[in-house]
Amino acid sequence: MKMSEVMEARTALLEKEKKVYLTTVNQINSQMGGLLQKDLGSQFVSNCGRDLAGELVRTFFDTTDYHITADQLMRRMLEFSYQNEYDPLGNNEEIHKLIYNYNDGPTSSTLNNIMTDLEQSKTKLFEKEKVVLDNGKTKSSYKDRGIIQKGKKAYRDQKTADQSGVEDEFTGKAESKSQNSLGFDVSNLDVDHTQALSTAYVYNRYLKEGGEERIREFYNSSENFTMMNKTANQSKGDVKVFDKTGNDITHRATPDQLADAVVQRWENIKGEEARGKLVEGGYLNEDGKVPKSVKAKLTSELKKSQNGESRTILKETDYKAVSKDAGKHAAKSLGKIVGGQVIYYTMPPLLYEMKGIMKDKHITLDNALTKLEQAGKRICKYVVSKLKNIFQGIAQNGLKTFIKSFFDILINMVKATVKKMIRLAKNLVLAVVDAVKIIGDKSASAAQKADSVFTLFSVTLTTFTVEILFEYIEKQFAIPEPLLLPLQIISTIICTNFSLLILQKADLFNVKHGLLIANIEEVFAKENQRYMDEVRSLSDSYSHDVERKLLEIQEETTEIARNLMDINLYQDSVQSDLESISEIFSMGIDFEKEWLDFLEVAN
Amino acid sequence: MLNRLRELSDKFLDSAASKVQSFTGETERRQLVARLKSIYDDIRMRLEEQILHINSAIDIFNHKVGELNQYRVSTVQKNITNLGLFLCQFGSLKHVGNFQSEEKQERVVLPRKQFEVVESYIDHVDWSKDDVFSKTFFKSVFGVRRETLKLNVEATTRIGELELSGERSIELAKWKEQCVNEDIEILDMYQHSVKMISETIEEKVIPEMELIQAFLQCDQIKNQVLANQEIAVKENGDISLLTGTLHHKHFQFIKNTFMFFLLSSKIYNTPVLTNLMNNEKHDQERNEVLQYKEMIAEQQQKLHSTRIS
Repeated sequence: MKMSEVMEARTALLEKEKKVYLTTVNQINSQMGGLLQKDLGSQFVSNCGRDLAGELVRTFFDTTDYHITADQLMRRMLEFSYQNEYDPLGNNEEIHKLIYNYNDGPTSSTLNNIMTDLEQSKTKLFEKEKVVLDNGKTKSSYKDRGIIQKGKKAYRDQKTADQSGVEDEFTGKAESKSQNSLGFDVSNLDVDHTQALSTAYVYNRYLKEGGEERIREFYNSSENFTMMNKTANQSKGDVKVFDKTGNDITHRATPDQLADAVVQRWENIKGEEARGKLVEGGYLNEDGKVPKSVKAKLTSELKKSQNGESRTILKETDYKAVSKDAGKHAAKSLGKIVGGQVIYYTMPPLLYEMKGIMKDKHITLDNALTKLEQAGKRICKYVVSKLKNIFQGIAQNGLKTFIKSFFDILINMVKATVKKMIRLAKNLVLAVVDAVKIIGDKSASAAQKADSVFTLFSVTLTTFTVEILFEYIEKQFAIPEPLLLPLQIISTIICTNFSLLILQKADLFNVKHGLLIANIEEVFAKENQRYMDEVRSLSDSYSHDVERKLLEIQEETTEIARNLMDINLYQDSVQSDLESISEIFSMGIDFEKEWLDFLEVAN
Repeated sequence: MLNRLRELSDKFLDSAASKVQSFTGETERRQLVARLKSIYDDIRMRLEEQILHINSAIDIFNHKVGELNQYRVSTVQKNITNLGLFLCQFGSLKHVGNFQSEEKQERVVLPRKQFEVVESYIDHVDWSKDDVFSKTFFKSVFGVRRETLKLNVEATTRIGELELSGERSIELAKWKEQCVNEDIEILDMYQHSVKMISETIEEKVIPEMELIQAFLQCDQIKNQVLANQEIAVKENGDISLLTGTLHHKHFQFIKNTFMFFLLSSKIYNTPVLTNLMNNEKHDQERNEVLQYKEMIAEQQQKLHSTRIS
């Protein structure tokens, strides 16, 4: 044994330590690079892509009631492991996905059932009957003509009592009167029902007793009356609005749709005399077009009337009946809600286990069965550990489906601005339900909860605003029907992700910052610990090795000392013992050569 | 009533200030600076303590090296002279060469430059109340928040780096102490071997040399008588002729004496221990242990390259 081996062990130890340190530094560098690199652009594109995939499946394949999107489920299945699972339902990640789920697409079975229920209970508000006139002729007239005439008279009297006098509310022209063939004064202005009685319907299913009568009274109140040119009034008579498939949707048409239909009717009026009267009355200009101011007034009056009607409907609604039907729809969706939870919690571990078994190249039938049994136990254990989450998920999603159905019934009963307000209320109430879940999450900090709730409400309002904006854009640019829904989905996703990006960047509650700090600390703690463990292991191994080497050398020198003590210099050679000392301490003496040199020089 | 109102308003202002400081990251910055200082103090203290241990071991080593050198210039040199005078009658001895002393080790000093870098960084992030006020005043709450949060990320990284490099320095210092203790053990073994050789020479070789010399002279006279030559004491001739004869034992003694002479000469004219500890490979190790400051600086530079600016 040479003493130089001890030195070499020392050098080797330091070289190894240097390698461990460099590896640690490289690991830290690479992980820090990942943490500090903020590629918001690709994050935005990636999120939009995933959201689009999820939303297209949800909208066109009616998967709303599963309360998990296809892209989330796919990612969970691909990335699942028992130690580190992607769990968007368990934690408060991807809040915006919850918000997308607040509104259903056209394929939604729940929404279609609601519409069917409403259509089945739809009844005409004003029925007509044949009336025999004084001259013996018959005429079709409303059964409620009494309240109709009374309402009209009251309105005209009210207008006449005004100091400014009676005037056309659409053109501002003063009333003019002429005598008819019987010598009576006849006005050129009619008291017009803004929303025509012929297209007035109610959904009896959800009205309180006497509600229908209140709505009928509304239709003959000042809120549904305007002073209009007689010719204009007569010519718009039974104007109707149809959807793209030809269904009559006049009773639920928007103010803009109704105004468009009336404007078209006026612009295409037949007969020169009637056209001349409309031009004279200010309803058509010289080019035969309805002036913008007239159309705007018409839209505004329709909106006012529809809002008034909606308020009356809401007052007269039997909310118990609405709740009962909402409960019925939620119960129908229960299968999908439970299915969603079961798939979410059982499929990913199942696929994970299958993947593990399939990857094993040495699998045989016998050990496959054993492994399957073990895998089954692991899956059961995992699912049992998630039972609380499953039941909470079912309860919460059931409640949300109930709230959605409740509001969807109301939304489809009302019109105009009130409809939008109830849509907003629906989104906010659903956001509150989600916020309660977020606030109740014991694993999140106060700042995280505040951040999640703030994001939830911000994105809720953003999506609602986008929805309203999209209605405006749709009207302004006449987007073709097939493109409408995809465009709306895309614009909602882009705006939502953009607002999320802004919120993420603003990080008002320092949550992202806190997470970054925690991650940096974790990287250093983990790598420092790894470095120290490896270095201590190296040190232990070195100490043991050097101790052994020094002991061997100690034994060797002791042996040499014993030999020298006992040696007879006349008989024994000391050369091997001295050579050993030379070797131990790397003296580099060639005893034999030196001896020969000594003798040769002598000769 | 007024006092109560004042207390309430103080509470409200304190609470508002706390919220603002939390929002701007000021609270976190203070905590990080306190942590940075504490880690720095801890590492410096532990390293200073470790360096004391190393230097204490180096002092022992150096004292023993002094003793060894003293032994070599006194006892070993005397033995070489005695053996040389005896051996030169039987052959020609090479020049022994000058005495070369074994080198002492340099004491280790604290890597001050490294600590100065950390101290300078602490000064940079340890804002006074005036600093905080002026930054908030000139940059607004949002401006100062952006700067503070960025600084907090950097400070967290620095803390991690300091912990890693500090623990490494302490670990290397522990190794250095262990190496010096091993060097002492090796020195002891070498010293023991040197003494063992010298004592054997003194006890078993030198007392026999006169006898051997007398015998060889008698043998020479006997041969001169037999050859009827004039009797005269001359230098001894070729001792290899004694091999295989009745006088082989004298040849063996001379050879053994020569071996002792060779080893003693090497011990005298070569700093065996210094060479052993400073050989080519060991030089590298020695440099690394002694200059671990530079290594840390180099690695830290690498770490800094990924730090956000």
